[in-house]
Amino acid sequence: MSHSGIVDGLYRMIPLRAVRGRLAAHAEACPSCGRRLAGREEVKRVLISAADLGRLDDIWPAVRKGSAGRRETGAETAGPAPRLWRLAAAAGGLAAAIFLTAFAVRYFGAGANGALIPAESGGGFQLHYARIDERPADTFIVQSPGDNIVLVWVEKNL
Amino acid sequence: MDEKERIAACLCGDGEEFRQIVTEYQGPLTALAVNMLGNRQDAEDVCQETLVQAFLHLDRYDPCLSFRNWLFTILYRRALDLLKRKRRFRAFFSRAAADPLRPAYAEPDESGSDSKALGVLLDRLSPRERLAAALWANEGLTAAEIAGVLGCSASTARVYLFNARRKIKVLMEKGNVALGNR
Repeated sequence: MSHSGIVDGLYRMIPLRAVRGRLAAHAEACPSCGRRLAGREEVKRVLISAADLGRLDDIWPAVRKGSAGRRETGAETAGPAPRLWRLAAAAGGLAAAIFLTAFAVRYFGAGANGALIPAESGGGFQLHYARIDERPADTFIVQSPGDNIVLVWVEKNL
Repeated sequence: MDEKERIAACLCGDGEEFRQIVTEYQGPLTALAVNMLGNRQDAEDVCQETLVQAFLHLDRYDPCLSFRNWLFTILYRRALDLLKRKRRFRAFFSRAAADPLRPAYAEPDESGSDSKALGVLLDRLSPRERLAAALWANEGLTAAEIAGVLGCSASTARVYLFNARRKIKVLMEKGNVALGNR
Protein backbone atom coordinates (compact mmCIF):
# COMPACT_ATOMS: atom_id res chain seq x y z
CA MET A 1 0.00 0.00 0.00
CA SER A 2 1.29 3.43 -0.87
CA HIS A 3 2.18 6.05 1.70
CA SER A 4 -0.90 8.16 0.89
CA GLY A 5 -3.06 5.02 1.05
CA ILE A 6 -1.83 4.34 4.58
CA VAL A 7 -2.56 7.92 5.64
CA ASP A 8 -6.01 7.71 4.08
CA GLY A 9 -6.69 4.38 5.77
CA LEU A 10 -5.61 5.71 9.15
CA TYR A 11 -7.83 8.75 8.64
CA ARG A 12 -10.84 6.54 7.97
CA MET A 13 -10.14 4.13 10.83
CA ILE A 14 -9.42 6.63 13.59
CA PRO A 15 -12.39 8.90 14.24
CA LEU A 16 -10.55 11.03 16.81
CA ARG A 17 -10.55 14.65 15.71
CA ALA A 18 -7.10 15.35 17.16
CA VAL A 19 -5.56 12.48 15.18
CA ARG A 20 -7.47 13.43 12.05
CA GLY A 21 -6.27 17.00 12.46
CA ARG A 22 -2.67 15.83 12.48
CA LEU A 23 -3.22 13.59 9.47
CA ALA A 24 -4.95 16.44 7.65
CA ALA A 25 -2.02 18.75 8.45
CA HIS A 26 0.35 16.10 7.11
CA ALA A 27 -1.72 15.69 3.93
CA GLU A 28 -1.61 19.44 3.31
CA ALA A 29 2.18 19.42 3.37
CA CYS A 30 2.90 16.05 1.75
CA PRO A 31 3.00 16.07 -2.09
CA SER A 32 2.02 12.39 -2.30
CA CYS A 33 -1.04 12.78 -0.04
CA GLY A 34 -1.86 16.16 -1.58
CA ARG A 35 -2.54 14.47 -4.91
CA ARG A 36 -5.59 12.83 -3.30
CA LEU A 37 -7.01 16.23 -2.42
CA ALA A 38 -8.56 18.81 -4.72
CA GLY A 39 -6.27 21.79 -5.25
CA ARG A 40 -7.25 25.40 -4.69
CA GLU A 41 -7.99 26.01 -8.38
CA GLU A 42 -10.05 22.82 -8.64
CA VAL A 43 -12.13 23.79 -5.61
CA LYS A 44 -12.56 27.30 -7.03
CA ARG A 45 -13.94 25.86 -10.25
CA VAL A 46 -16.77 23.99 -8.51
CA LEU A 47 -17.70 26.78 -6.10
CA ILE A 48 -19.44 30.08 -6.74
CA SER A 49 -17.26 33.15 -6.52
CA ALA A 50 -18.25 36.81 -6.32
CA ALA A 51 -17.41 37.18 -10.03
CA ASP A 52 -19.90 34.42 -10.94
CA LEU A 53 -22.77 36.35 -9.37
CA GLY A 54 -22.70 39.11 -11.95
CA ARG A 55 -24.12 42.50 -11.07
CA LEU A 56 -25.69 42.65 -7.62
CA ASP A 57 -28.50 44.97 -6.52
CA ASP A 58 -27.50 47.83 -4.25
CA ILE A 59 -28.58 46.62 -0.80
CA TRP A 60 -27.37 49.68 1.09
CA PRO A 61 -30.87 51.28 1.29
CA ALA A 62 -32.25 48.01 2.72
CA VAL A 63 -29.35 47.71 5.19
CA ARG A 64 -29.82 51.30 6.37
CA LYS A 65 -33.59 50.88 6.66
CA GLY A 66 -33.26 47.54 8.48
CA SER A 67 -30.78 48.85 11.02
CA ALA A 68 -32.74 52.07 11.58
CA GLY A 69 -35.94 50.10 12.14
CA ARG A 70 -34.34 47.90 14.76
CA ARG A 71 -32.74 50.83 16.55
CA GLU A 72 -36.15 52.49 16.78
CA THR A 73 -37.80 49.42 18.26
CA GLY A 74 -34.84 48.93 20.60
CA ALA A 75 -34.84 45.25 19.75
CA GLU A 76 -31.09 45.19 19.14
CA THR A 77 -29.89 47.67 21.72
CA ALA A 78 -31.86 46.69 24.80
CA GLY A 79 -29.59 43.70 25.53
CA PRO A 80 -30.63 40.10 25.87
CA ALA A 81 -34.08 39.56 27.31
CA PRO A 82 -34.53 37.19 30.27
CA ARG A 83 -34.31 33.58 29.14
CA LEU A 84 -37.84 32.60 30.19
CA TRP A 85 -39.35 35.56 28.42
CA ARG A 86 -37.45 34.77 25.24
CA LEU A 87 -38.53 31.14 25.35
CA ALA A 88 -42.15 32.14 25.96
CA ALA A 89 -42.03 34.62 23.09
CA ALA A 90 -40.50 32.02 20.77
CA ALA A 91 -43.06 29.42 21.80
CA GLY A 92 -45.88 31.93 21.30
CA GLY A 93 -44.63 32.91 17.85
CA LEU A 94 -44.22 29.29 16.82
CA ALA A 95 -47.67 28.33 18.13
CA ALA A 96 -49.21 31.23 16.20
CA ALA A 97 -47.42 30.15 13.04
CA ILE A 98 -48.54 26.52 13.44
CA PHE A 99 -52.11 27.60 14.16
CA LEU A 100 -52.23 29.87 11.12
CA THR A 101 -50.72 27.19 8.90
CA ALA A 102 -53.13 24.53 10.17
CA PHE A 103 -56.01 26.93 9.71
CA ALA A 104 -54.90 27.75 6.17
CA VAL A 105 -54.51 24.08 5.29
CA ARG A 106 -57.93 23.23 6.73
CA TYR A 107 -59.71 26.26 5.30
CA PHE A 108 -58.20 26.28 1.84
CA GLY A 109 -57.13 22.68 1.46
CA ALA A 110 -60.03 20.39 2.39
CA GLY A 111 -63.73 20.28 1.57
CA ALA A 112 -66.53 18.83 3.70
CA ASN A 113 -65.60 15.23 2.87
CA GLY A 114 -61.91 15.84 3.25
CA ALA A 115 -61.29 16.10 -0.49
CA LEU A 116 -58.85 18.70 -1.64
CA ILE A 117 -60.31 21.79 -3.24
CA PRO A 118 -57.99 23.72 -5.51
CA ALA A 119 -57.65 27.37 -4.59
CA GLU A 120 -59.37 29.87 -6.87
CA SER A 121 -57.35 30.40 -9.98
CA GLY A 122 -56.32 33.82 -11.17
CA GLY A 123 -54.49 36.51 -9.18
CA GLY A 124 -51.22 34.93 -8.03
CA PHE A 125 -50.36 34.72 -4.34
CA GLN A 126 -48.18 37.56 -3.07
CA LEU A 127 -46.68 38.16 0.35
CA HIS A 128 -44.50 41.21 0.67
CA TYR A 129 -43.56 41.27 4.32
CA ALA A 130 -44.21 39.48 7.60
CA ARG A 131 -43.44 40.82 11.06
CA ILE A 132 -43.77 39.34 14.55
CA ASP A 133 -43.27 41.67 17.54
CA GLU A 134 -42.37 44.54 15.20
CA ARG A 135 -39.42 42.60 13.77
CA PRO A 136 -39.05 40.95 10.37
CA ALA A 137 -40.04 37.30 10.63
CA ASP A 138 -38.68 34.42 8.60
CA THR A 139 -41.22 33.41 6.02
CA PHE A 140 -41.31 30.23 4.01
CA ILE A 141 -43.79 29.79 1.21
CA VAL A 142 -44.52 26.41 -0.31
CA GLN A 143 -46.68 25.89 -3.35
CA SER A 144 -47.60 22.34 -4.22
CA PRO A 145 -47.18 21.68 -7.93
CA GLY A 146 -50.58 20.17 -8.70
CA ASP A 147 -53.15 21.42 -6.20
CA ASN A 148 -52.71 25.15 -6.51
CA ILE A 149 -52.38 25.41 -2.74
CA VAL A 150 -50.04 27.79 -1.00
CA LEU A 151 -48.76 27.15 2.52
CA VAL A 152 -47.17 29.97 4.46
CA TRP A 153 -44.91 29.38 7.47
CA VAL A 154 -43.97 32.46 9.47
CA GLU A 155 -41.41 31.99 12.22
CA LYS A 156 -40.17 34.50 14.75
CA ASN A 157 -36.59 35.52 14.07
CA LEU A 158 -34.74 35.17 17.38
CA MET B 1 -9.75 56.47 3.62
CA ASP B 2 -8.78 52.95 4.63
CA GLU B 3 -11.03 50.38 6.26
CA LYS B 4 -10.09 51.13 9.87
CA GLU B 5 -10.71 54.86 9.34
CA ARG B 6 -14.01 54.05 7.68
CA ILE B 7 -15.07 51.92 10.64
CA ALA B 8 -14.01 54.66 13.06
CA ALA B 9 -16.10 57.15 11.05
CA CYS B 10 -19.09 54.81 11.21
CA LEU B 11 -18.69 54.54 14.98
CA CYS B 12 -18.69 58.34 15.17
CA GLY B 13 -22.11 58.29 13.53
CA ASP B 14 -21.24 58.63 9.85
CA GLY B 15 -23.50 55.91 8.50
CA GLU B 16 -22.75 56.77 4.88
CA GLU B 17 -19.22 55.41 5.31
CA PHE B 18 -20.75 52.01 5.88
CA ARG B 19 -22.05 52.18 2.33
CA GLN B 20 -18.49 51.68 1.07
CA ILE B 21 -18.15 48.65 3.29
CA VAL B 22 -21.44 47.25 1.95
CA THR B 23 -20.30 47.78 -1.64
CA GLU B 24 -16.94 46.16 -0.98
CA TYR B 25 -18.15 43.07 0.85
CA GLN B 26 -21.54 42.37 -0.69
CA GLY B 27 -20.09 40.16 -3.45
CA PRO B 28 -17.80 37.96 -1.32
CA LEU B 29 -20.45 37.61 1.39
CA THR B 30 -23.19 36.65 -1.07
CA ALA B 31 -20.90 34.16 -2.83
CA LEU B 32 -19.99 32.57 0.49
CA ALA B 33 -23.67 32.32 1.43
CA VAL B 34 -24.56 30.78 -1.96
CA ASN B 35 -21.87 28.15 -1.43
CA MET B 36 -23.26 27.37 1.99
CA LEU B 37 -26.99 27.56 1.24
CA GLY B 38 -27.09 26.65 -2.46
CA ASN B 39 -29.77 29.22 -3.13
CA ARG B 40 -29.18 32.77 -4.31
CA GLN B 41 -32.38 34.22 -2.84
CA ASP B 42 -31.57 32.93 0.64
CA ALA B 43 -27.95 33.97 0.20
CA GLU B 44 -28.92 37.56 -0.59
CA ASP B 45 -31.22 37.67 2.43
CA VAL B 46 -28.49 36.31 4.71
CA CYS B 47 -25.95 38.73 3.27
CA GLN B 48 -28.27 41.67 3.91
CA GLU B 49 -29.01 40.48 7.44
CA THR B 50 -25.26 40.05 8.08
CA LEU B 51 -24.57 43.63 7.06
CA VAL B 52 -27.46 44.94 9.17
CA GLN B 53 -26.09 43.03 12.18
CA ALA B 54 -22.58 44.30 11.52
CA PHE B 55 -23.82 47.89 11.22
CA LEU B 56 -25.80 47.62 14.46
CA HIS B 57 -22.99 45.99 16.42
CA LEU B 58 -19.98 47.69 14.92
CA ASP B 59 -18.94 48.78 18.41
CA ARG B 60 -18.34 45.11 19.27
CA TYR B 61 -15.79 44.66 16.49
CA ASP B 62 -12.23 44.22 17.76
CA PRO B 63 -9.94 46.27 15.47
CA CYS B 64 -7.07 43.87 16.22
CA LEU B 65 -8.89 41.20 14.19
CA SER B 66 -9.70 41.10 10.49
CA PHE B 67 -12.92 42.96 9.70
CA ARG B 68 -13.56 40.68 6.72
CA ASN B 69 -13.31 37.58 8.92
CA TRP B 70 -15.62 39.20 11.47
CA LEU B 71 -18.23 39.64 8.72
CA PHE B 72 -17.70 36.04 7.59
CA THR B 73 -18.31 34.87 11.17
CA ILE B 74 -21.62 36.73 11.36
CA LEU B 75 -22.63 35.38 7.96
CA TYR B 76 -21.73 31.82 8.92
CA ARG B 77 -23.90 31.98 12.04
CA ARG B 78 -26.84 33.51 10.19
CA ALA B 79 -26.59 30.93 7.39
CA LEU B 80 -26.33 28.04 9.84
CA ASP B 81 -29.35 29.40 11.68
CA LEU B 82 -31.33 29.54 8.44
CA LEU B 83 -30.35 25.97 7.55
CA LYS B 84 -31.55 24.77 10.95
CA ARG B 85 -34.87 26.59 10.59
CA LYS B 86 -35.34 25.14 7.11
CA ARG B 87 -34.67 21.67 8.47
CA ARG B 88 -37.36 22.17 11.15
CA PHE B 89 -39.73 23.53 8.52
CA ARG B 90 -39.15 20.55 6.22
CA ALA B 91 -39.60 18.09 9.08
CA PHE B 92 -42.92 19.70 9.99
CA PHE B 93 -44.24 19.60 6.45
CA SER B 94 -42.94 16.08 5.86
CA ARG B 95 -45.19 14.97 8.69
CA ALA B 96 -48.05 17.00 7.23
CA ALA B 97 -47.49 15.39 3.83
CA ALA B 98 -47.67 11.92 5.38
CA ASP B 99 -51.21 12.67 6.55
CA PRO B 100 -53.55 11.72 3.64
CA LEU B 101 -56.08 14.41 4.59
CA ARG B 102 -53.52 17.10 4.11
CA PRO B 103 -52.12 18.23 0.80
CA ALA B 104 -48.80 16.90 -0.34
CA TYR B 105 -46.18 19.57 -0.35
CA ALA B 106 -43.31 20.29 -2.61
CA GLU B 107 -39.80 20.45 -1.20
CA PRO B 108 -38.73 24.03 -0.64
CA ASP B 109 -37.41 25.46 -3.83
CA GLU B 110 -33.96 24.25 -4.70
CA SER B 111 -34.15 25.38 -8.27
CA GLY B 112 -32.25 28.50 -7.32
CA SER B 113 -29.04 26.48 -7.05
CA ASP B 114 -26.48 28.23 -9.13
CA SER B 115 -24.95 25.20 -10.79
CA LYS B 116 -25.19 21.46 -11.08
CA ALA B 117 -21.77 21.16 -9.51
CA LEU B 118 -22.89 23.12 -6.48
CA GLY B 119 -25.98 20.93 -6.21
CA VAL B 120 -23.81 17.82 -6.00
CA LEU B 121 -21.58 19.48 -3.43
CA LEU B 122 -24.59 20.43 -1.34
CA ASP B 123 -25.54 16.76 -1.18
CA ARG B 124 -22.11 15.45 -0.29
CA LEU B 125 -20.47 18.14 1.82
CA SER B 126 -21.69 19.43 5.18
CA PRO B 127 -22.33 23.20 5.52
CA ARG B 128 -19.11 23.57 7.55
CA GLU B 129 -17.10 21.68 4.94
CA ARG B 130 -18.54 23.86 2.15
CA LEU B 131 -17.76 27.00 4.11
CA ALA B 132 -14.22 25.84 4.90
CA ALA B 133 -13.63 25.05 1.22
CA ALA B 134 -15.05 28.39 0.06
CA LEU B 135 -13.02 30.39 2.59
CA TRP B 136 -9.87 28.52 1.63
CA ALA B 137 -10.29 28.59 -2.14
CA ASN B 138 -12.12 31.86 -2.79
CA GLU B 139 -10.88 34.02 0.08
CA GLY B 140 -7.45 32.49 0.65
CA LEU B 141 -7.93 31.96 4.37
CA THR B 142 -5.63 29.65 6.34
CA ALA B 143 -6.87 26.84 8.58
CA ALA B 144 -6.34 29.06 11.65
CA GLU B 145 -8.41 31.87 10.11
CA ILE B 146 -11.14 29.42 9.08
CA ALA B 147 -11.14 28.17 12.68
CA GLY B 148 -11.74 31.75 13.83
CA VAL B 149 -14.77 32.05 11.56
CA LEU B 150 -16.20 28.65 12.49
CA GLY B 151 -15.46 29.08 16.18
CA CYS B 152 -13.50 25.83 16.46
CA SER B 153 -9.88 24.75 16.84
CA ALA B 154 -7.45 25.00 13.92
CA SER B 155 -7.17 21.21 13.97
CA THR B 156 -10.94 20.84 13.55
CA ALA B 157 -10.99 23.43 10.75
CA ARG B 158 -8.20 21.48 9.04
CA VAL B 159 -10.34 18.33 9.24
CA TYR B 160 -13.32 20.13 7.66
CA LEU B 161 -11.09 21.43 4.88
CA PHE B 162 -9.43 18.05 4.35
CA ASN B 163 -12.82 16.32 4.11
CA ALA B 164 -14.08 18.93 1.66
CA ARG B 165 -11.03 18.71 -0.60
CA ARG B 166 -11.02 14.91 -0.53
CA LYS B 167 -14.74 14.67 -1.33
CA ILE B 168 -14.43 17.19 -4.17
CA LYS B 169 -11.50 15.24 -5.60
CA VAL B 170 -13.45 11.97 -5.46
CA LEU B 171 -16.49 13.61 -7.09
CA MET B 172 -14.28 15.02 -9.83
CA GLU B 173 -12.66 11.66 -10.46
CA LYS B 174 -16.05 10.00 -10.65
CA GLY B 175 -17.18 12.67 -13.07
CA ASN B 176 -20.06 13.83 -10.86
CA VAL B 177 -18.74 17.35 -10.78
CA ALA B 178 -18.26 18.72 -14.25
CA LEU B 179 -15.34 21.07 -14.32
CA GLY B 180 -15.52 24.25 -16.24
CA ASN B 181 -19.28 23.98 -16.76
CA ARG B 182 -19.85 27.46 -15.42
